[in-house]
Amino acid sequence: MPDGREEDGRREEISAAERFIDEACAGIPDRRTRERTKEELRSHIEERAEEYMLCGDTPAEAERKAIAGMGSPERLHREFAEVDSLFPLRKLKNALWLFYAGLILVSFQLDIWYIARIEEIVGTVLLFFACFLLRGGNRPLCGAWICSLVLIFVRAAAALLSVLPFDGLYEHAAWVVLLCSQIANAVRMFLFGYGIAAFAEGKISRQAKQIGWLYLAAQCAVGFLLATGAIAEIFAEIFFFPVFALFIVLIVLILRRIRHVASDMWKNDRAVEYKKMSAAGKAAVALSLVFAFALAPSVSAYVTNAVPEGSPYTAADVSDADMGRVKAFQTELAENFPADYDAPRDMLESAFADVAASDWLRLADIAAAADNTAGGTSETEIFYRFGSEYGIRTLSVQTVLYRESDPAAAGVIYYYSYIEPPTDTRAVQMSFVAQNASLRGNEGKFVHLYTEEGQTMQMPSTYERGDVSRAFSEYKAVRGREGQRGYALLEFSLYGGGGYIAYTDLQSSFYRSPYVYPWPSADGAPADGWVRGLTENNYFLL
Amino acid sequence: MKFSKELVKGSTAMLVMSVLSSGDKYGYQIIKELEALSEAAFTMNEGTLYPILHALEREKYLESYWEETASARKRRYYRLTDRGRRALAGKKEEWRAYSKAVEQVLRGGAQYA
Repeated sequence: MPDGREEDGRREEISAAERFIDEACAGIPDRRTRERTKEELRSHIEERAEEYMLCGDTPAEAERKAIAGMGSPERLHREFAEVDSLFPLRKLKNALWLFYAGLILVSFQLDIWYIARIEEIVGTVLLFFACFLLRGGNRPLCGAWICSLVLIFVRAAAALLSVLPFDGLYEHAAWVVLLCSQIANAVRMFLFGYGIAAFAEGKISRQAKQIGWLYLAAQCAVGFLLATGAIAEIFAEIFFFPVFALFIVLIVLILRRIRHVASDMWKNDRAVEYKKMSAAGKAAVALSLVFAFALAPSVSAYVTNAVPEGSPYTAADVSDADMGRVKAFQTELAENFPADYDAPRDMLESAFADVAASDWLRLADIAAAADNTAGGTSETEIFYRFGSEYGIRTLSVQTVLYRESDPAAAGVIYYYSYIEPPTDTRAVQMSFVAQNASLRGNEGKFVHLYTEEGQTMQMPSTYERGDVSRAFSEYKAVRGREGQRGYALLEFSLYGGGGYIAYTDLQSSFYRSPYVYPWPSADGAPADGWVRGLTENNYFLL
Repeated sequence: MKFSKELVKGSTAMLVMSVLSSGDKYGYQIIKELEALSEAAFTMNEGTLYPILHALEREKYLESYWEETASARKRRYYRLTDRGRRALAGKKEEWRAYSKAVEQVLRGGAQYA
């Protein structure tokens, strides 16, 4: 039996039995199973050798016979590899189907009702089970499954945080949770691709390799689309449903091809280490890594978008340069809006184009000084903040316009713009503010106004929902007349290249125009004269 | 009589499970019993048994455990699970039907031979 083992730290002499066992068990990818099997074979060989020695053989001869009786180590290697592949064909096909179904669902964010959220949850579960099925294939695939577990845990934690009764806890912790979620997702995608590549490389059959390559090719295509935001863009446009259908057909064709190829027998399943991979295999792993990092922009987006609104920064935290931007914007707004309703977007872009992402925390909610008042100038007070809307960075601006001659009432332009792609969306809301006195000393006493759909425009307010009639009554009492030029523009929203307005006649009646598409560009003619006329002639101006 | 590999390969798992149906055994013990029951008709390379045992264990037809002998040697014993017993019953049924069909064809062919 094992002889020649030396205790003085010099290299041990490996017996023939150990060499046989090592070679026979090399095809077992799982380390624990491999060690257990080795011990089992070792015990078997020792027992057989003892029998031979009892018959009179020398230890060396007994060992030789015992090993010979075990058969060819190469054959054992193959047979163990086949058994311990942990990749029954059915399991692989099921896993790939689950994986792609999950990937499509989490990518297809149909922003209607709660469908997007449902899709995300179901897709995440499918991706989890795909990784679960293949978790024993090799270490990268096991790592992908671990990342799936992390994702489940992280998202459960996020849901739990949202229901805890600690004000502000969810907001401040959400960005940490979401960041972990995005990192885990990116790592999972990389490990999954790596694991499939490692597995495919170990195949001898040419057809068997094709399954891995087809998967990786599809993964790269999906990854490219995700990274460029093309999927979100496509799904956002109803006119691109044929393209979406084509995308689904392509995925189905690829999966059908995988299934066809996978009908071939898997032989000699071995997970190959990266160093031993072919050039094609290494390229596939590199592509998986690129795909994973293509998700990195979404990571940074989560970091920035998850900055809680209402951060504790004050005007004192704003640099002179930023304050200069604010004042420049403010001036242009007063001069140009609303005659040219495209102007705010242009002004916004020019005024804040050079704001770096790191400046976000500084450009927080600013409460303008309360000492620009009646009797002075008709300057505007401006509130602005960065926030997020559906995961897209937005800049919102609230500008209060009031007149020196009538400080008891004021108009508030609430304006926000989507800054990040993919959609060119901006919304301008105009509302009015009823107050009983001058602005000085009455900050925060604004009302809620409601559109036809019950949407509130949230401002610092002491009024509760349901006090619309009271708000209007107050305004009428202050103003002394029924309305202001017939209609007050409440909301002016543009999205997806079109837009609509919502307005009120100040008689508690709300109206909303039809959706106009395409909406005229800054230098284009209006698509609908009525809408144009309404906005020019009937906006609320004090 | 030495049987062809193809013939043996399809039934070895069933034979191993059948041997285990009478009680827990370790690898070498299974080989010896198989040899004895078949009157030396089934003699396999001893190493070949272990991949079969592992495959059956992976399918949850068997479960295994270590036991130390009197001479302090560790042996891995295998036991047939309930799932394995059901699977064995199915395989036996299948084998009987198959062998019966083969026999009928051979008898029928002999008429015309």
